[in-house]
Amino acid sequence: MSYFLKFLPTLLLFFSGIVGIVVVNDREHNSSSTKSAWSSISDLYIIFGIFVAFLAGFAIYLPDRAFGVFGEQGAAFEVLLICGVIGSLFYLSFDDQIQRKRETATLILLATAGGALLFVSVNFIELAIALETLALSVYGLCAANLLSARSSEAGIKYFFLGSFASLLIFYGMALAYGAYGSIGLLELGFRIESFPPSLLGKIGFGLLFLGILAKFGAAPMHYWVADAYQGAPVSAFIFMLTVVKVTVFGALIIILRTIAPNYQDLSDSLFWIVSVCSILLGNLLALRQRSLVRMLAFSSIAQAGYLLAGLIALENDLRGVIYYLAFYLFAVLGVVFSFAAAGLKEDQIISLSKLRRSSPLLAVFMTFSFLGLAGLPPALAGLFGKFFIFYPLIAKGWYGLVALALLGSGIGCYYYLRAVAAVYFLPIIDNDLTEGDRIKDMSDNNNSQQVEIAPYSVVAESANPYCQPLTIASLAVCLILLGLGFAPEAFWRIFS
Amino acid sequence: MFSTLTFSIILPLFAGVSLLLFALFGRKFEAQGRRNEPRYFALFISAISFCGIFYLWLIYDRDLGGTQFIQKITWIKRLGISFAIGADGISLTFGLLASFLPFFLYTLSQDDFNISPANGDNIVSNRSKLIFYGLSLILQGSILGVFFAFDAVLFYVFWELMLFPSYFLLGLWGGRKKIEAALFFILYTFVGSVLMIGGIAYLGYKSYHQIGAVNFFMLDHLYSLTFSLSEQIVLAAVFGVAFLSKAALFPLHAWLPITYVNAPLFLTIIMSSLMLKTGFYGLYRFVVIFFADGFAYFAPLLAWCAAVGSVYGAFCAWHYVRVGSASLRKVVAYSSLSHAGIIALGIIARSEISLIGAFVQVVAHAFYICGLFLLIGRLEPLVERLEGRQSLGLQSILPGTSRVFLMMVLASCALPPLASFVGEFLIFAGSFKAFPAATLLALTSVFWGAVYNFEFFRRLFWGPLQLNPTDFNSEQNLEPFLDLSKFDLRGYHQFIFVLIFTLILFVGLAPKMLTAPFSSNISDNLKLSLLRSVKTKQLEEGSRFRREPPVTKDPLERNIEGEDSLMLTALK
Repeated sequence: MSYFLKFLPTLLLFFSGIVGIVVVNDREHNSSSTKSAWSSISDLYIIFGIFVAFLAGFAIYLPDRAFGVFGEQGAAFEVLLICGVIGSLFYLSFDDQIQRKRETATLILLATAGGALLFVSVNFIELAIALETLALSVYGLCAANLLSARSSEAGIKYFFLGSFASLLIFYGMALAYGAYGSIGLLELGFRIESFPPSLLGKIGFGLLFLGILAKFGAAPMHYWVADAYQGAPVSAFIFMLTVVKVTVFGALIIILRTIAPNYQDLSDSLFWIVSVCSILLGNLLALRQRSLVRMLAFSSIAQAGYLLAGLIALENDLRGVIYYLAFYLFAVLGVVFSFAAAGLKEDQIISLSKLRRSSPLLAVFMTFSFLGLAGLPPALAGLFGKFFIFYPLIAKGWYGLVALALLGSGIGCYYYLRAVAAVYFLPIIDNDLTEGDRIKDMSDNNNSQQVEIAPYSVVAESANPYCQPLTIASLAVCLILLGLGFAPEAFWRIFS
Repeated sequence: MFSTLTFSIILPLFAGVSLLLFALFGRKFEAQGRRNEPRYFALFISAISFCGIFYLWLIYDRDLGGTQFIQKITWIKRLGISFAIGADGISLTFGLLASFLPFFLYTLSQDDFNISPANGDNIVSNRSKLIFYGLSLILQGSILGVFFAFDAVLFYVFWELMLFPSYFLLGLWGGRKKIEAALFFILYTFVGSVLMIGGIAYLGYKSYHQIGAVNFFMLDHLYSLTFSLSEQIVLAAVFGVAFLSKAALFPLHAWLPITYVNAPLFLTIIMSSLMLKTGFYGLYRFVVIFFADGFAYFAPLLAWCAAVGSVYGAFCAWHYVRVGSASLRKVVAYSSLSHAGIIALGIIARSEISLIGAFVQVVAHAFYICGLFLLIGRLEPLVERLEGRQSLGLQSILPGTSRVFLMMVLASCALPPLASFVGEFLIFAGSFKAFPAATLLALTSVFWGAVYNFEFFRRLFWGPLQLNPTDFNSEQNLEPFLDLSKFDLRGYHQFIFVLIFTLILFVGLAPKMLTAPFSSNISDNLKLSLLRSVKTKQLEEGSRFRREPPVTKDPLERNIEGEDSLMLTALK
């Protein structure tokens, strides 16, 4: 029974996905013409209903807390997973770029089923199934915008590089099995402890890590990130930044904990290199981006670097890393929701200046999230997140890594603040300017036009009919971010 | 619940946030003509804050010394981070300044001194006023927080909190190159201070190592830690870069001219008279006392930097006066750089006299640089730059302005009975023993200071009147010039400069009034730092015989809150 209970959330998600596929199709094309916000939600009512069932199953299951290698702290990961799914499903109902919403919702649920499976997996097979279920659905999600060539390109690109990463993972698993003769994580852990590290094991676990890091979007394996994120529709983008990050990060922790005693040197040196590469490369590449989504993609590489740095000094206490993960998830949701609620036609950073006029409230939310990502108060969560990541590193003597990471965050401050400057300081640009004019305008910001503060309204008449629910959502996200910054203890207390 | 001190710090922060929220939601307020309530509100809040800190300054027990009015609220228990606020004589002096100057600036209406959103900008709406005063209150609160925080992490939070309001003030109401200036300022100071969080984390780790609990409370915990010499050198460098880049010590001053020229006048004044001083305060509080031996390693180099910086600033100011191509503000900005170098020299020299002199000079400099910038802001719409003219002869049309300008120039030149003279004299007297050559170099800057200041004054005010229409900045409001005599300072506007001058003169005549609260603190701190360097020496010598540093692990000495102490009592 308890074995069944363990898989309950996964199974519920799976069935809800299947039901989604079976029941869809009949009203899909008729309903796409209606544009109102709430009708498209009612279009998704089945899926939401089953999602609620999933939550109920999770609630039954949570007291057991048999999260594989995670122990008690696995619950925190699952909660973050749920936050991510809620975020992307919520946005899905407003996403204009996606034509077949129910199928997409099915994909999201199936992907999440993979994620939920990962946190209870006890052997390599379950781990591989979880990662593949997640990955295959996300390839589809990336290409969900049927009318855009870019979206298909994103899907294909992600598929090729992702499947290559999967190959690395499988091969690594096979080699590890060859070295130790077991695929059960617990058994493997015992054997690793009792035998000295072998070359085969080193290669195996090295390949395994490289594969998972490639899926995580860490730096030397980051080539797919920008294109996949930019081409994908926004709800897939949200999903990749939240659920996929949380899940793959969980996979990293599982492997790390299993091999911890004897392969610490291997994982430490690997993560050292990868995290420094990610932080520096991600921040440097993000500096020159003109598109907001691309900038967020490169910044996600840098943030992945901070998370990986947190894994180096990992002991039993995952709270610092979880805190950072939660902070990053909500900060990104804040940026994307406020951007989406504004209903801007293009994702150029310069065009963010319209936000100031169309809706000051959203401009505030976006600024708050950006300041958090840059690690500046008043969004204290970013500052504390970095502090909680770096404190154990300092205590263990990784001074060089901390110095490089901090300098990287100094670089990162530039592009986040440039985006804030675009929101508030640039003159508002009208649509009929050409690209060249705009660049000229940005480069010589000798403002003959003064900044005008617009005719007044808080939630404005924006082009986006879904402005209001999305504004409420970004308000909620920013409040969570604020709370996370002012009371980190309260956040930890939930899971202890 | 909150002590008076905590209240005086938090009040401006909350008031600023509420003004910003009101700007976002106060829909009706926008449409109602021109309103001055935001300024009155800011004036009221800062008056309360000032009164609170002034009261504490009065009742501070000078015989007892040390840190008083401590309030400590646990924030993040797991890492020993607390909201710890306290005050000693030094932070009270700085805090008094930081609460008085904004209060003083809020008494000036926006048209008078070009200090707030109304002038030269299209932003005159009520909403922009709300945002402006909200941001400036937050800035004021965060500066106060820096001066009174006695928890290292809290200090860092306030330190970084200063950036966001100044970024917006600069970007929204700045001059021609405002976006460049805003990004440059933030990046420069953020990158400078970003390593500090690593240093603070290291302090926490050391406290875990030596006392047995992670704690960032500075007084009981961090002050009792011992560091080896190499640790001190690295930590002094990490903290020193953060503070000195904020204090604009010579090679790290690049943000200063562009920011001062492009910032709105209010922010320029706050930056030059308060934000620069947060750097000096942090340098004193953390580096000079805390890592005395590590700092001694850098001190000769830094003393030369300070001396060269003061001469460089004076020369640049002189150059801009002679050539006259740059805006008037730039002259004052470089003179501020020059004086900051002298203050830095006083702190770097670390003798009791020079430190007292540096703090006197901090107060004096804050006042006269504020006066000078106010006057420049007043003149800016009339004359933007000198354009190589031998003289402008403004005295014939602006006699009142000329009088008060002369007062500020005299204060800036450190005329003997004034506070700036007392400060500079004490600084040089104290630092001569430690760094004779650097002090002599810095002394020449005083001479050059007199040269450029009087030349500046002469060119602006004496000689035949030479105004031409190109001087009138076309974007500015031309109305005041139709009747130039109305443009002159009179009444309250003249009085404030007389007030500033009187304060400087008063401090100069009776410096004990100012120095009495903190002079005992300085000698205590120096004793402490001497004790610490003796400890370090013992540690270095001991480490020749033993590899491990001696760790005192007596559980009775541990002073830990909460579960640990409960456990200890249970053990006993």
